Amino acid sequence: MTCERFLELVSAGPVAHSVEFLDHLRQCPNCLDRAVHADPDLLFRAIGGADLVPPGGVDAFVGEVMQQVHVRQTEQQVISRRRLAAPIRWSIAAVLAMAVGGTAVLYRPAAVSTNAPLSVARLQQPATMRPVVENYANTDATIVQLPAGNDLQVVMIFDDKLPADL
Amino acid sequence: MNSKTLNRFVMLALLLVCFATVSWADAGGRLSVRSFQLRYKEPEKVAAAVKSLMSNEGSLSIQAGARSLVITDHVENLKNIAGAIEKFDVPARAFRLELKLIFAGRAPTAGKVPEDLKEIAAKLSGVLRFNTFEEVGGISVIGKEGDPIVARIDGNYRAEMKFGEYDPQSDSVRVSAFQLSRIVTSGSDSGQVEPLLTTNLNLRLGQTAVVGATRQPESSRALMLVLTAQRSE
Repeated sequence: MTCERFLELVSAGPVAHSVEFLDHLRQCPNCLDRAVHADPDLLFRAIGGADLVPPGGVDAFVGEVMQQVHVRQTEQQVISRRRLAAPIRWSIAAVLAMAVGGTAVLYRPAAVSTNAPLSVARLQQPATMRPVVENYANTDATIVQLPAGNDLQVVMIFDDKLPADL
Repeated sequence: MNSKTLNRFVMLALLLVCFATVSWADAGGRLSVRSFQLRYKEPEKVAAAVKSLMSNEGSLSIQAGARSLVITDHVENLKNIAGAIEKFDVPARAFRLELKLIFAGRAPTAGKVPEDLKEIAAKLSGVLRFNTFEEVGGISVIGKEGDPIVARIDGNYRAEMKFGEYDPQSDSVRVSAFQLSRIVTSGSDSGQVEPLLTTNLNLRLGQTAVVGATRQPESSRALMLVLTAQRSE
Protein backbone atom coordinates (compact mmCIF):
# COMPACT_ATOMS: atom_id res chain seq x y z
CA MET A 1 0.00 0.00 0.00
CA THR A 2 1.31 3.42 -0.86
CA CYS A 3 1.37 6.39 1.47
CA GLU A 4 -1.15 8.29 -0.72
CA ARG A 5 -3.61 5.41 -0.65
CA PHE A 6 -3.18 5.05 3.12
CA LEU A 7 -3.91 8.76 3.69
CA GLU A 8 -7.00 8.51 1.48
CA LEU A 9 -8.34 5.65 3.61
CA VAL A 10 -7.58 7.59 6.84
CA SER A 11 -9.34 10.70 5.50
CA ALA A 12 -12.40 8.61 4.63
CA GLY A 13 -13.13 8.14 8.32
CA PRO A 14 -13.39 5.19 10.76
CA VAL A 15 -13.90 2.04 8.68
CA ALA A 16 -12.88 -1.56 9.08
CA HIS A 17 -9.24 -1.59 8.01
CA SER A 18 -7.55 -4.34 6.08
CA VAL A 19 -4.43 -6.25 6.98
CA GLU A 20 -2.47 -4.22 4.36
CA PHE A 21 -3.63 -0.94 5.95
CA LEU A 22 -2.41 -2.06 9.39
CA ASP A 23 0.91 -3.39 7.97
CA HIS A 24 1.59 0.00 6.35
CA LEU A 25 0.68 1.76 9.59
CA ARG A 26 3.22 -0.32 11.51
CA GLN A 27 5.98 0.19 8.94
CA CYS A 28 5.63 3.92 7.99
CA PRO A 29 6.31 6.35 10.87
CA ASN A 30 5.11 9.39 8.86
CA CYS A 31 1.78 7.82 8.05
CA LEU A 32 1.42 6.63 11.66
CA ASP A 33 2.01 10.17 12.86
CA ARG A 34 -0.64 11.59 10.53
CA ALA A 35 -3.09 8.78 11.27
CA VAL A 36 -2.84 9.32 15.06
CA HIS A 37 -3.79 12.96 14.61
CA ALA A 38 -6.79 11.92 12.56
CA ASP A 39 -7.90 8.96 14.74
CA PRO A 40 -6.07 8.02 18.03
CA ASP A 41 -7.67 4.58 17.92
CA LEU A 42 -5.37 3.77 14.96
CA LEU A 43 -2.33 3.88 17.27
CA PHE A 44 -3.98 1.33 19.51
CA ARG A 45 -4.57 -0.91 16.52
CA ALA A 46 -1.00 -0.28 15.23
CA ILE A 47 0.52 -1.78 18.36
CA GLY A 48 -1.80 -4.78 18.17
CA GLY A 49 -4.09 -3.64 20.95
CA ALA A 50 -7.15 -4.99 19.23
CA ASP A 51 -5.77 -8.49 19.53
CA LEU A 52 -4.84 -8.21 23.24
CA VAL A 53 -6.95 -9.96 25.91
CA PRO A 54 -6.96 -8.41 29.44
CA PRO A 55 -5.82 -10.64 32.32
CA GLY A 56 -8.74 -12.69 33.67
CA GLY A 57 -10.67 -12.32 30.42
CA VAL A 58 -12.81 -9.60 28.87
CA ASP A 59 -15.80 -10.25 31.12
CA ALA A 60 -13.74 -9.84 34.34
CA PHE A 61 -12.16 -6.66 32.95
CA VAL A 62 -15.57 -5.21 32.05
CA GLY A 63 -16.86 -6.16 35.51
CA GLU A 64 -14.00 -4.33 37.25
CA VAL A 65 -14.47 -1.27 35.09
CA MET A 66 -18.19 -1.17 35.83
CA GLN A 67 -17.48 -1.60 39.55
CA GLN A 68 -15.12 1.38 39.44
CA VAL A 69 -17.76 3.38 37.59
CA HIS A 70 -20.31 2.48 40.27
CA VAL A 71 -17.89 3.47 43.06
CA ARG A 72 -17.21 6.83 41.41
CA GLN A 73 -20.92 7.52 40.95
CA THR A 74 -21.63 6.65 44.62
CA GLU A 75 -18.84 8.97 45.75
CA GLN A 76 -20.25 11.79 43.68
CA GLN A 77 -23.70 11.27 45.19
CA VAL A 78 -22.33 11.28 48.76
CA ILE A 79 -20.28 14.42 48.12
CA SER A 80 -23.25 16.17 46.58
CA ARG A 81 -25.41 15.17 49.58
CA ARG A 82 -22.82 16.60 51.97
CA ARG A 83 -22.75 19.80 50.03
CA LEU A 84 -26.51 20.04 50.34
CA ALA A 85 -26.37 19.45 54.11
CA ALA A 86 -24.05 22.38 54.81
CA PRO A 87 -26.65 25.17 54.43
CA ILE A 88 -29.02 23.26 56.67
CA ARG A 89 -26.34 22.97 59.33
CA TRP A 90 -25.76 26.70 59.03
CA SER A 91 -29.46 27.36 59.44
CA ILE A 92 -29.58 25.14 62.56
CA ALA A 93 -26.59 26.99 63.97
CA ALA A 94 -28.27 30.31 63.21
CA VAL A 95 -31.48 29.20 64.93
CA LEU A 96 -29.57 28.03 68.01
CA ALA A 97 -27.58 31.26 68.12
CA MET A 98 -30.75 33.31 67.88
CA ALA A 99 -32.44 31.17 70.51
CA VAL A 100 -29.51 31.58 72.91
CA GLY A 101 -29.27 35.30 72.14
CA GLY A 102 -33.00 35.74 72.58
CA THR A 103 -32.94 33.88 75.88
CA ALA A 104 -30.06 36.03 77.09
CA VAL A 105 -31.96 39.17 76.14
CA LEU A 106 -35.10 37.81 77.75
CA TYR A 107 -33.52 37.04 81.11
CA ARG A 108 -31.16 39.99 81.31
CA PRO A 109 -33.65 42.34 82.98
CA ALA A 110 -34.14 39.93 85.88
CA ALA A 111 -30.40 39.48 86.31
CA VAL A 112 -28.90 42.94 86.04
CA SER A 113 -31.70 45.42 85.55
CA THR A 114 -31.85 48.42 87.80
CA ASN A 115 -35.50 47.52 88.25
CA ALA A 116 -34.52 44.54 90.38
CA PRO A 117 -32.36 45.84 93.20
CA LEU A 118 -30.01 43.72 95.25
CA SER A 119 -32.52 43.41 98.04
CA VAL A 120 -34.74 41.28 95.85
CA ALA A 121 -32.03 38.64 95.68
CA ARG A 122 -31.61 38.96 99.42
CA LEU A 123 -35.33 38.35 99.86
CA GLN A 124 -35.08 35.03 98.07
CA GLN A 125 -32.17 33.58 100.02
CA PRO A 126 -32.59 33.66 103.79
CA ALA A 127 -29.11 34.44 105.00
CA THR A 128 -27.62 36.59 107.76
CA MET A 129 -26.94 39.61 105.64
CA ARG A 130 -27.25 42.00 108.57
CA PRO A 131 -24.28 42.21 110.93
CA VAL A 132 -24.81 40.76 114.40
CA VAL A 133 -23.48 43.93 116.03
CA GLU A 134 -25.28 46.64 114.11
CA ASN A 135 -23.71 49.52 115.99
CA TYR A 136 -21.83 50.10 119.21
CA ALA A 137 -21.75 52.97 121.68
CA ASN A 138 -18.02 53.65 121.32
CA THR A 139 -17.39 54.41 117.65
CA ASP A 140 -13.62 54.09 118.17
CA ALA A 141 -13.96 50.41 119.05
CA THR A 142 -12.96 47.74 116.56
CA ILE A 143 -15.63 45.17 115.74
CA VAL A 144 -14.58 41.93 114.06
CA GLN A 145 -17.19 39.48 112.83
CA LEU A 146 -15.65 36.07 112.20
CA PRO A 147 -16.86 33.94 109.28
CA ALA A 148 -20.15 32.35 110.27
CA GLY A 149 -20.70 28.66 110.67
CA ASN A 150 -24.12 27.14 110.15
CA ASP A 151 -25.16 27.46 113.76
CA LEU A 152 -22.55 29.73 115.38
CA GLN A 153 -21.58 33.33 114.74
CA VAL A 154 -18.74 34.98 116.66
CA VAL A 155 -18.21 38.73 116.93
CA MET A 156 -15.42 40.37 118.94
CA ILE A 157 -15.50 43.95 120.19
CA PHE A 158 -12.10 45.49 121.03
CA ASP A 159 -12.77 48.59 123.08
CA ASP A 160 -10.08 50.50 125.01
CA LYS A 161 -12.74 52.13 127.15
CA LEU A 162 -13.93 48.91 128.71
CA PRO A 163 -13.04 48.56 132.41
CA ALA A 164 -9.71 46.86 133.01
CA ASP A 165 -11.30 44.50 135.55
CA LEU A 166 -14.04 43.23 133.27
CA MET B 1 -33.77 18.00 54.52
CA ASN B 2 -35.29 20.24 51.88
CA SER B 3 -36.21 23.86 51.42
CA LYS B 4 -39.48 23.31 53.33
CA THR B 5 -37.57 22.27 56.44
CA LEU B 6 -35.21 25.18 55.98
CA ASN B 7 -38.17 27.55 55.87
CA ARG B 8 -39.49 26.09 59.12
CA PHE B 9 -36.18 26.77 60.82
CA VAL B 10 -36.17 30.35 59.60
CA MET B 11 -39.76 30.88 60.80
CA LEU B 12 -38.90 29.43 64.21
CA ALA B 13 -35.91 31.75 64.50
CA LEU B 14 -38.02 34.78 63.60
CA LEU B 15 -40.63 33.80 66.18
CA LEU B 16 -37.95 33.48 68.86
CA VAL B 17 -36.52 36.89 68.02
CA CYS B 18 -39.98 38.49 68.12
CA PHE B 19 -40.77 36.83 71.46
CA ALA B 20 -37.49 37.97 72.97
CA THR B 21 -37.98 41.52 71.74
CA VAL B 22 -41.52 41.76 73.10
CA SER B 23 -40.46 40.34 76.48
CA TRP B 24 -37.51 42.73 76.69
CA ALA B 25 -39.70 45.74 75.99
CA ASP B 26 -42.31 44.63 78.52
CA ALA B 27 -39.81 43.90 81.30
CA GLY B 28 -38.07 47.21 80.96
CA GLY B 29 -41.00 49.53 80.60
CA ARG B 30 -44.31 49.90 82.38
CA LEU B 31 -44.79 51.54 85.75
CA SER B 32 -47.80 50.61 87.79
CA VAL B 33 -49.45 52.00 90.93
CA ARG B 34 -50.63 49.88 93.81
CA SER B 35 -52.08 50.66 97.22
CA PHE B 36 -51.27 48.48 100.23
CA GLN B 37 -53.62 48.53 103.22
CA LEU B 38 -51.73 47.76 106.44
CA ARG B 39 -53.32 45.91 109.35
CA TYR B 40 -50.69 45.58 112.05
CA LYS B 41 -47.54 47.59 111.42
CA GLU B 42 -47.05 51.34 111.27
CA PRO B 43 -46.91 52.62 107.68
CA GLU B 44 -43.58 54.37 108.33
CA LYS B 45 -41.96 51.11 109.43
CA VAL B 46 -43.31 49.21 106.46
CA ALA B 47 -42.15 51.99 104.15
CA ALA B 48 -38.65 51.80 105.59
CA ALA B 49 -38.66 48.03 105.16
CA VAL B 50 -39.71 48.04 101.49
CA LYS B 51 -37.71 51.07 100.35
CA SER B 52 -34.70 48.93 99.49
CA LEU B 53 -36.86 46.83 97.16
CA MET B 54 -37.91 49.78 95.02
CA SER B 55 -36.26 50.75 91.75
CA ASN B 56 -34.87 54.18 90.98
CA GLU B 57 -38.02 55.01 89.03
CA GLY B 58 -40.31 53.97 91.88
CA SER B 59 -42.01 56.28 94.36
CA LEU B 60 -43.82 55.82 97.64
CA SER B 61 -46.51 57.76 99.45
CA ILE B 62 -47.50 57.16 103.07
CA GLN B 63 -51.20 57.60 103.90
CA ALA B 64 -50.89 57.68 107.68
CA GLY B 65 -54.60 58.33 108.32
CA ALA B 66 -55.71 55.46 106.13
CA ARG B 67 -52.82 53.25 107.31
CA SER B 68 -51.82 52.53 103.76
CA LEU B 69 -48.95 52.88 101.34
CA VAL B 70 -49.27 53.89 97.70
CA ILE B 71 -46.34 52.63 95.70
CA THR B 72 -45.52 53.31 92.06
CA ASP B 73 -42.97 50.98 90.49
CA HIS B 74 -42.36 48.39 87.80
CA VAL B 75 -44.82 45.52 87.80
CA GLU B 76 -42.14 42.98 88.70
CA ASN B 77 -40.93 45.09 91.63
CA LEU B 78 -44.47 45.59 92.90
CA LYS B 79 -44.85 41.81 93.06
CA ASN B 80 -41.73 41.53 95.22
CA ILE B 81 -42.84 44.45 97.40
CA ALA B 82 -46.27 42.90 97.87
CA GLY B 83 -44.64 39.66 99.01
CA ALA B 84 -42.39 41.50 101.45
CA ILE B 85 -45.30 43.50 102.91
CA GLU B 86 -47.36 40.34 103.30
CA LYS B 87 -44.55 38.82 105.37
CA PHE B 88 -43.88 42.01 107.32
CA ASP B 89 -47.40 43.20 108.16
CA VAL B 90 -48.30 40.51 110.66
CA PRO B 91 -49.23 40.63 114.37
CA ALA B 92 -46.31 41.16 116.73
CA ARG B 93 -44.42 37.90 117.03
CA ALA B 94 -43.05 36.50 120.25
CA PHE B 95 -39.45 35.43 120.65
CA ARG B 96 -37.46 33.62 123.28
CA LEU B 97 -33.96 34.90 123.95
CA GLU B 98 -31.43 32.86 125.86
CA LEU B 99 -28.40 34.74 127.11
CA LYS B 100 -25.35 33.36 128.88
CA LEU B 101 -22.57 35.45 130.36
CA ILE B 102 -19.13 33.86 130.23
CA PHE B 103 -15.63 35.00 131.08
CA ALA B 104 -13.02 33.66 128.70
CA GLY B 105 -9.33 33.82 129.51
CA ARG B 106 -5.89 32.85 128.32
CA ALA B 107 -3.92 30.86 130.86
CA PRO B 108 -0.72 28.76 130.71
CA THR B 109 -2.77 25.64 131.28
CA ALA B 110 -6.25 25.06 129.88
CA GLY B 111 -9.05 24.99 132.43
CA LYS B 112 -12.00 22.66 132.66
CA VAL B 113 -14.75 23.63 130.22
CA PRO B 114 -18.39 23.31 131.33
CA GLU B 115 -20.28 20.66 129.33
CA ASP B 116 -22.74 23.10 127.75
CA LEU B 117 -19.96 25.40 126.57
CA LYS B 118 -17.77 22.78 124.92
CA GLU B 119 -18.89 23.51 121.36
CA ILE B 120 -18.47 27.25 121.78
CA ALA B 121 -15.18 26.81 123.65
CA ALA B 122 -13.80 24.74 120.77
CA LYS B 123 -14.51 27.56 118.35
CA LEU B 124 -13.21 30.31 120.62
CA SER B 125 -10.06 28.46 121.58
CA GLY B 126 -9.29 27.69 117.93
CA VAL B 127 -9.74 31.19 116.59
CA LEU B 128 -9.17 33.48 119.57
CA ARG B 129 -6.87 31.23 121.66
CA PHE B 130 -8.96 31.42 124.81
CA ASN B 131 -8.53 28.28 126.91
CA THR B 132 -10.40 28.95 130.16
CA PHE B 133 -14.15 29.47 130.34
CA GLU B 134 -16.18 30.43 133.38
CA GLU B 135 -19.94 30.75 133.19
CA VAL B 136 -21.25 33.66 135.24
CA GLY B 137 -24.93 33.06 134.69
CA GLY B 138 -27.73 33.14 132.18
CA ILE B 139 -31.29 34.21 131.52
CA SER B 140 -34.11 33.11 129.28
CA VAL B 141 -36.66 35.78 128.40
CA ILE B 142 -39.76 35.85 126.19
CA GLY B 143 -41.06 38.99 124.59
CA LYS B 144 -43.00 40.27 121.60
CA GLU B 145 -41.77 42.69 118.99
CA GLY B 146 -41.59 46.08 120.65
CA ASP B 147 -41.50 44.73 124.22
CA PRO B 148 -38.80 46.09 126.57
CA ILE B 149 -36.93 43.51 128.67
CA VAL B 150 -34.92 44.03 131.86
CA ALA B 151 -33.29 41.07 133.59
CA ARG B 152 -30.56 40.47 136.15
CA ILE B 153 -27.84 37.92 135.60
CA ASP B 154 -26.34 36.31 138.67
CA GLY B 155 -27.16 39.35 140.80
CA ASN B 156 -24.14 41.34 139.61
CA TYR B 157 -25.11 42.09 136.01
CA ARG B 158 -28.15 43.56 134.38
CA ALA B 159 -29.33 43.23 130.80
CA GLU B 160 -31.74 45.69 129.21
CA MET B 161 -33.06 45.42 125.70
CA LYS B 162 -36.03 45.83 123.44
CA PHE B 163 -37.24 43.28 120.94
CA GLY B 164 -37.31 45.01 117.59
CA GLU B 165 -38.84 44.01 114.28
CA TYR B 166 -38.46 40.58 112.81
CA ASP B 167 -36.72 40.73 109.43
CA PRO B 168 -38.02 37.98 107.12
CA GLN B 169 -35.27 38.70 104.59
CA SER B 170 -32.55 37.50 106.92
CA ASP B 171 -34.80 35.50 109.26
CA SER B 172 -33.49 37.55 112.16
CA VAL B 173 -34.86 39.64 114.99
CA ARG B 174 -33.41 42.98 115.99
CA VAL B 175 -32.55 43.45 119.65
CA SER B 176 -32.28 47.18 120.03
CA ALA B 177 -30.86 49.29 122.85
CA PHE B 178 -29.15 46.26 124.31
CA GLN B 179 -27.19 47.29 127.38
CA LEU B 180 -25.18 45.06 129.68
CA SER B 181 -24.33 46.73 133.00
CA ARG B 182 -22.40 45.70 136.05
CA ILE B 183 -23.87 46.39 139.47
CA VAL B 184 -21.15 47.66 141.76
CA THR B 185 -21.89 47.51 145.46
CA SER B 186 -19.77 49.20 148.08
CA GLY B 187 -20.53 48.92 151.80
CA SER B 188 -24.13 49.68 152.59
CA ASP B 189 -24.74 51.07 149.09
CA SER B 190 -27.48 49.17 147.25
CA GLY B 191 -25.38 49.21 144.10
CA GLN B 192 -24.42 51.48 141.23
CA VAL B 193 -25.07 50.50 137.66
CA GLU B 194 -21.94 50.64 135.50
CA PRO B 195 -22.72 50.23 131.76
CA LEU B 196 -20.33 47.88 129.99
CA LEU B 197 -21.76 47.31 126.53
CA THR B 198 -24.37 49.30 124.65
CA THR B 199 -25.28 48.05 121.20
CA ASN B 200 -27.96 46.99 118.73
CA LEU B 201 -27.93 43.35 117.72
CA ASN B 202 -29.37 41.34 114.87
CA LEU B 203 -29.90 37.74 115.87
CA ARG B 204 -30.68 35.11 113.28
CA LEU B 205 -33.29 32.74 114.61
CA GLY B 206 -31.86 29.40 115.70
CA GLN B 207 -28.27 30.53 115.34
CA THR B 208 -26.04 31.02 118.38
CA ALA B 209 -24.28 34.36 118.37
CA VAL B 210 -21.25 34.92 120.58
CA VAL B 211 -20.45 38.57 121.21
CA GLY B 212 -17.13 38.99 122.95
CA ALA B 213 -15.75 42.18 124.44
CA THR B 214 -12.24 42.95 125.58
CA ARG B 215 -9.88 45.91 125.66
CA GLN B 216 -7.21 44.61 123.26
CA PRO B 217 -6.88 41.59 120.97
CA GLU B 218 -4.05 40.34 123.20
CA SER B 219 -5.97 40.88 126.46
CA SER B 220 -5.97 37.84 128.70
CA ARG B 221 -9.63 38.17 129.68
CA ALA B 222 -12.80 38.76 127.70
CA LEU B 223 -16.48 39.01 128.46
CA MET B 224 -18.56 36.74 126.25
CA LEU B 225 -22.28 36.96 125.62
CA VAL B 226 -23.80 33.82 124.16
CA LEU B 227 -27.15 34.68 122.60
CA THR B 228 -29.73 32.46 120.95
CA ALA B 229 -33.08 33.75 119.68
CA GLN B 230 -35.95 31.44 118.84
CA ARG B 231 -39.53 31.96 117.81
CA SER B 232 -41.85 31.48 120.77
CA GLU B 233 -45.35 30.09 120.20
